[in-house]
Amino acid sequence: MAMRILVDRTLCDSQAICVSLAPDIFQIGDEDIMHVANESPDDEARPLVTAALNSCPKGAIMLVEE
Amino acid sequence: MTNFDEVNYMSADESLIQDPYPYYDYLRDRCPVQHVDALGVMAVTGHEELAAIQRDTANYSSCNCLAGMFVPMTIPEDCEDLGPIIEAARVQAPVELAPLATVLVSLDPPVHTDQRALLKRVFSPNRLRENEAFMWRLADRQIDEFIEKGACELLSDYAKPFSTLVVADLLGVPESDHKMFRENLGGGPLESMGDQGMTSVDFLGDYFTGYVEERRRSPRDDVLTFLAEARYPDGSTPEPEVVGRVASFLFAAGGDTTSGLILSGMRIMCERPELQARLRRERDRIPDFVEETLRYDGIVKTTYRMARRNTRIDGMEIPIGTTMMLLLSGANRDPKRFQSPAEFDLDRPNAREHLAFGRGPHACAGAPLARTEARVTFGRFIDRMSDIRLSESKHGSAGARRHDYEPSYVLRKLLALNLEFTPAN
Repeated sequence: MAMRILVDRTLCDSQAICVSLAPDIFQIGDEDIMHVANESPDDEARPLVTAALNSCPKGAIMLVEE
Repeated sequence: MTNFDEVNYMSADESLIQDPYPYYDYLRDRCPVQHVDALGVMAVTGHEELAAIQRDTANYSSCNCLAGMFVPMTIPEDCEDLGPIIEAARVQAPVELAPLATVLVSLDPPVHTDQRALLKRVFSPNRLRENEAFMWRLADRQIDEFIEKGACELLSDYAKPFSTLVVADLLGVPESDHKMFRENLGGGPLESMGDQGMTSVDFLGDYFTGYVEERRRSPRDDVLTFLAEARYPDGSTPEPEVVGRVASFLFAAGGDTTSGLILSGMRIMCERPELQARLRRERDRIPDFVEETLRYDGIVKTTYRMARRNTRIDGMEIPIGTTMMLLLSGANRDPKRFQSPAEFDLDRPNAREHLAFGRGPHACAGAPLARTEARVTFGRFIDRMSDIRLSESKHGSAGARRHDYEPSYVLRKLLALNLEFTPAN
């Protein structure tokens, strides 16, 4: 099963806790908001992505299995 | 000996104000979600349950989040969703309750979602980075005012002016107005909205509304213009009063809370000399110190929700209209989430899972700001003062300390922290 990362943009504040946990996947770009650099990372990234999902205070990160 | 079965947590009971944690443990040991007869509320001390309730806006309204108070409403029989009644109550609120009914923290989707979105440009990563540069300069200027005395009262000499001016700078208040802000902002805690706390918020509301109108007419290259040009997510333009109200709300939201955090951490650092020594050797651990302080002795103890539908949690029925009393500081010591929760542990691996800033759509927008303010403050104090300790004449000696807390069931706020130190050279 491959995972796909979705972000609820109405919730995301760009508080960037996810960025500090998984900077290859979650990044602050030129537009000064958080964006997902890699929406479908390899399965090895699952623990980091899960930690980011659990640490987001807004609950803005979701994982879809496809 | 306080009788935990009968004590009224929502009163100024002296023992709970001094130390609420045994009461939270008592409640949590009985059940993470339980009815408290003395209050007529469901008290929540379980970490998982509290986070779930805060995330669940379909079943829980934030209308009563401030001190459990909202505009009185009548719940009709067979009502299935209080949403429309809550929104009608907001609109029909008598003038003295209008602030309570419209403050950002009490709003529900979709209005909350729109107004909260206005804050994204205030707390954007770039904006926070610029503001941090101001914070380092401000910390030094504040410390310069008292360093030669070898002593200070941390709240009035530093934390209160510091937290006020940080928000002023974040919102782009011209430096020429900073003195006025420092002088005028009595700004009571959030639950005093309704008495003199509101006068400050009115003054600020008018101040920012005026600037929004002026900058929309004559834009400049400044933060106030950036704020004035904020749009709702659908691209529509907010009324100047709405922007003004949200901006002024930030002073209430980021005042007592952040100054309280600074005092809370400094108290811990002063009471544990070996921890202070360790932070001096390992300055990069200051962010972890801030997190564990938030978990161990955070500032917003209590928040509220109202069940807007008949719902369930942990297999228990929650009838429509139920007041949920969310004990954030209690959940932060839930042994199911945190090992040895009553211990302050700088090396705790999951300190960041604390609920001091809440969860869900209302999770504190200012959390990055608060964390930075605490980090800059502790860093600068350690840089510029050696051997920071509590004044024994004011706070007693180790093992027999005296601390005065604000008699609030919402905020855990030291009224003063008298420090002594040696200026470092």
